Amino acid sequence: MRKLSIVTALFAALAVSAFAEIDVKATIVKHLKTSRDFTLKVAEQMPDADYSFKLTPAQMSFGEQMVHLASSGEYFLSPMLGEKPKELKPASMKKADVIAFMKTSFDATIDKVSKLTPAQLTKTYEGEGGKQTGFDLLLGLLDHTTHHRASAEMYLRAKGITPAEYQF
Amino acid sequence: MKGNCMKIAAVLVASVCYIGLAFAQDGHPMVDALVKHYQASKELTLAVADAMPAENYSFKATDAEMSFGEQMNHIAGANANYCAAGLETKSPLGKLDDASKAAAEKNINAAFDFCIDGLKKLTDAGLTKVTGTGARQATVFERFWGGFTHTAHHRGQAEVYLRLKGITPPQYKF
Repeated sequence: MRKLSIVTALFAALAVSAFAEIDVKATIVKHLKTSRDFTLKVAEQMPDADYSFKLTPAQMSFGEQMVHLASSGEYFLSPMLGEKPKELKPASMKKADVIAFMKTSFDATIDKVSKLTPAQLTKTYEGEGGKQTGFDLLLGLLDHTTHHRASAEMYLRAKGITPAEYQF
Repeated sequence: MKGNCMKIAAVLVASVCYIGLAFAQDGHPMVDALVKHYQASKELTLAVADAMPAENYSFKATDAEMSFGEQMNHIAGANANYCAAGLETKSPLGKLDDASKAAAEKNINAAFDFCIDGLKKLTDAGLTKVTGTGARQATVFERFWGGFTHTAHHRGQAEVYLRLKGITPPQYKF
């Protein structure tokens, strides 16, 4: 009986550690979807004619910021998938093509993250940014998008456009 | 024979569970990751704050925006609020009226230290706890990650203020 209760207690402990991983993936997918929707709103707000606009010469243009953040999913996910990141590009730097590219890229990223296993999330990968776990890479992906979207929102302000309300 | 099999099975199950238990108790990889990234965010935010000269803390790129100093204080105040919600306590920061460089840097330090010290006391299992009620429900992890993302959102804008003043922002880090 005592043995049985020990086994039961150990099972409970295992359930907690597995739950932590599963729950985190679902949470990250939820925020990736919010990030996709919010970033697409920002992209929609800039007129096509201003997709080549940049605030200072050293910066990327608005369109380049959008392509850069959307295509970065490849780089953050490739270590976990054991693949080389593909160089993805939109058909052109026109607004319609950039937005179509963003939708495809975001959806592909969300789909791939949804299929990650707990082992892929906890494993450590050696990359350009040093040693990172799958969890680090997913947080890095979200942070990188936030960083560039925030710059792009400043471009909207410079054009007299109030950026879409912040979402998380 | 049947009894032996049961014993072997029980030992196997117990061993597997023990490994799981050891992983859960000896290490908290999620907490450790958040601490690491919060420290990087603190360093980058302070580097951005420091890159702007004190006399330009009242600069704003357009009228509707916050000044650079207000952005810095907003990062500090909001971060502390998000972390306080995760820690189920009160933010140590009061109303942040002084948007001078010295005050803002002090506020950023205080807010990040509060978040990092609080995180270090958590467990991975603790991060999955749901806090708040109704539409404001969120896990502890989401409170901290929400604060982190909110910082990146405003710091990203503040970096453009630096560019508009001819200053190249510090290297992005995560």
